[in-house]
Amino acid sequence: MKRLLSIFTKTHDFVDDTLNNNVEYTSYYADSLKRLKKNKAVMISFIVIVILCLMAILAPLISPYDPNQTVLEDDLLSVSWQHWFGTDEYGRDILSRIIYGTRVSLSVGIVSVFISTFIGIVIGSIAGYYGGAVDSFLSRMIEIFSAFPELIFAIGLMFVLGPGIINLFIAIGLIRWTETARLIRGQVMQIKEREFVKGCVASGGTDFWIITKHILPNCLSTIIIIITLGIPGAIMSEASLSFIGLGVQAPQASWGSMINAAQSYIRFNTVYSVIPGIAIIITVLAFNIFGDGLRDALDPRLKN
Amino acid sequence: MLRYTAKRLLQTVIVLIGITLVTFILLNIVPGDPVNLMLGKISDPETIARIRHEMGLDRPWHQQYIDFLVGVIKGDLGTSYFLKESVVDIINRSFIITLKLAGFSFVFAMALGLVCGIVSAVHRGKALDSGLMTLALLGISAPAFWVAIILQIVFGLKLDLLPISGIDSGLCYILPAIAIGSRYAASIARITRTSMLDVIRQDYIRTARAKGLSERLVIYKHALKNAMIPIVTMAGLQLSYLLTGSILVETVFSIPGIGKLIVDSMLTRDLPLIQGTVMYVATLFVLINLIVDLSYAFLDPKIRYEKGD
Amino acid sequence: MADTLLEVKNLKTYFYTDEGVVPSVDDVSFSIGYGETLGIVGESGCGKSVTSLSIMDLVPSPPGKIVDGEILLKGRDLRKLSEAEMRKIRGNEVAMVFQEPMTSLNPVFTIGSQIIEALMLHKHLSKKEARDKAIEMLKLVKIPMPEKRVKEYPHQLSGGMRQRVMIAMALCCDPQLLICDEPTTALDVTIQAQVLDLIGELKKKLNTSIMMITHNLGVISEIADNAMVMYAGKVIEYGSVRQLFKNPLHPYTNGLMNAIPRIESDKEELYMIKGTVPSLRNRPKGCLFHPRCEYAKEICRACMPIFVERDGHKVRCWKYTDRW
Repeated sequence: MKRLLSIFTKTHDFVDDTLNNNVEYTSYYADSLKRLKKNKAVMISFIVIVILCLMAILAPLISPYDPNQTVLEDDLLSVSWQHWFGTDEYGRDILSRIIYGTRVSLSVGIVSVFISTFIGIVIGSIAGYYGGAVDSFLSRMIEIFSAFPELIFAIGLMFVLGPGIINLFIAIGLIRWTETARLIRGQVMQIKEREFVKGCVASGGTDFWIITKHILPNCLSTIIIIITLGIPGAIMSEASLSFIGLGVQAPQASWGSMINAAQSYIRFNTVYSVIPGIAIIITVLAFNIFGDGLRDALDPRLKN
Repeated sequence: MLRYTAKRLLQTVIVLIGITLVTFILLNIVPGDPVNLMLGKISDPETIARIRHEMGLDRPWHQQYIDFLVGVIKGDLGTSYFLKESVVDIINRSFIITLKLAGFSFVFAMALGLVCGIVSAVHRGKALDSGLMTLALLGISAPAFWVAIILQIVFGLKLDLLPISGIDSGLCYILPAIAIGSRYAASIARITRTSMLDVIRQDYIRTARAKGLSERLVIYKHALKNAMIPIVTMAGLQLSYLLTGSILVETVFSIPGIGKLIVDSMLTRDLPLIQGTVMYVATLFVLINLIVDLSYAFLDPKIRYEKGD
Repeated sequence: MADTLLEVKNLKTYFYTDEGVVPSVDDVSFSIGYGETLGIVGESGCGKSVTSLSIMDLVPSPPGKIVDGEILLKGRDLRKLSEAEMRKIRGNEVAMVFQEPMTSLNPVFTIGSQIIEALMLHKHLSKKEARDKAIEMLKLVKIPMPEKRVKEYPHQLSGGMRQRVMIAMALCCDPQLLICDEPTTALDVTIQAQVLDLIGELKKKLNTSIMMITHNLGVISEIADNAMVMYAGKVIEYGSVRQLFKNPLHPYTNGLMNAIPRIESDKEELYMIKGTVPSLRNRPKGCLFHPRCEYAKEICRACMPIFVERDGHKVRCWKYTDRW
């Protein structure tokens, strides 16, 4: 009855629901944060992520050498006080290149995930909200795009677009949206059946308004999880593309391209190929653990 | 069951047509001229015009697409520009090698993943569980190509136990199979553990125990068969790990499989070969997903009957 | 006590959780004779299911653990048996029917194979013999077309049918003791009556001892010889069904009796026991029931009452002692 009456008091209905939702959210997110703080592994991985971000931002200040400065007579030096991780085939300092590589990995990881999440949200919410023919068409499209193994599609795109960090953002952003779209579609379909959305429809809110102001805020925890768990995958894709020579433009340092170069010298300098891999593992691991922990804290139902 | 299969087949056909379209648009239309892509900096207009004509690129694009589609249906993916050989023949040749490699990795990963997952679930919360799961997390986070190089260094160079390149003997497959399978194994182990833990606390497991069955029967018969449903789903969906792995690892070990073919065709910018390989691999994928989907029915009697009519 | 099949002495089963120790079953003793039916009554969380799982040694561990007590089956202490010896008891000498027929059968095996499995294990029958026996058992529990049903999967059967299958499965190895943990709670009322009748009938036919766990006193009055009332992990009253129904001693039992709706009663409102079951994690001091008891006195708040016995009718209440 209350719901029925509120249809007549249009503006109030919106305010009412938004307020209620906000109240619910605050305590919900506070609880999640509490659960998150309890988890030691998650807190350690969070610290690692912060350190990595600082490394990326402060790269020029903390790297001991210019990452692209070649000293041909100092090629493939092994570990020493001058060069902690040795030098590569052009005599460039590996530590400095690792530090600069953080920039590539993190920026590709973050930017491309934002691109893919955006595409996924748009397509997923349209499919879920409108249903019917729109949904079948978009679902089929999601299916087609997810049929391509990610790396193959990214290789194709990078081949067409050419190397460079901007193109990496685009290529990786374009391959990873299908899973997001699928999840968001499912959630939107559920949420649109709820009372408060029906109330908005009845009171004449536009579709755009309802989706962005009422439905998507309810998907927020899913979206946060998608983003954090998407980053390690994107970082891995970047490393893979760079490894097969379709990533950043030389001489820019990327962990993947460093491993590619290093594999020719495994007989002479093993540290050269080991170090960038460890950098990748630490970064991906930190994001994976953090993402897992965040998911468990925010929404235990999404587990697996 | 029959209707479900028919519906699923129809869906697959639609998806396959979609794949041809996406592949075609991606490689032929988006950046303008594919010949420029192939030839790179050489911009002699006459040569370009000649090649365009040779490859039939001067015709309207819808006609090109229809020709491409007809070719795909007939099993003809054109001729490699540089190798002057039928693309299908080249792919078939490399595919057998990759299939063999993927087969080894699959067996390795499944065996390792299932065992670790089950052991972890049975010893939940103990040191063994945390140890195995930490290892699995590392496995998921380590890039396959790096694992490949580390294996080369340790088993090839330092210990001198196994060959590190080529396919001259069966031994050559061991290291690449492990490198490709490591991530897949880690992922299977994690899914198996979650799925087993989920099943172990079900009422019917208690019933099985109440019957006096041994713990081994309870776990490996009653629990595992139920747990296999989500495991098969994920294992099927993540078969792409094996392919992704082979693209990255075959080059490291100089194995002339489909992964190396893709990378090499990119480097030589051989457009028909790239197009054909991408098509081929994507099709393969859709078919694998189809098989995985239909195979649930055999694991889960509920689906078998419900989707029956 | 030659005619005693099962004797449980001072059983203690605790759960060790992050929030503290939960004494689910706290010093519980009872016995069941051959062919006898014992009803255990109590609200959910009073420890009646954990008692039955303790007998089967199926308490989920961790966090659960049997801390103390003896479980004597024909004089043999089950707690001293090895896991392998215990497996020969489970499903063979002691069988169990669970509360949830919908989830207690394995969805990926046919019901036939689930019955056959037990028969082949305990009775060493061949597959063919076991199959025939399974069909016979399904006939016994009155499942129509048993030859067809053995080949079906659990999801193809209704809840009542599944519970019949569970009963058939439990009885297939001729157990001496059948533990029924709220076997009818999850079923529709009409089906409940059918299943209950079936259990009563089978008991007469097979002379199996039954331990019937329920929160429904009606069920007890219909089927049991003796009854035991549990509250917050403790036995508070124990006696024959006749004694208990004619003359309930404990205020809690009394409350339960009054809470049964009766057609002949002209009272409008149903009687309700005030308050809720205490959390097992921090049980009240003294008598566990005192916060809800209308007779509670100083002594109830201070000390846990001991058992008082009259003609085998035991009650744990200060009202019946000299100190009242």
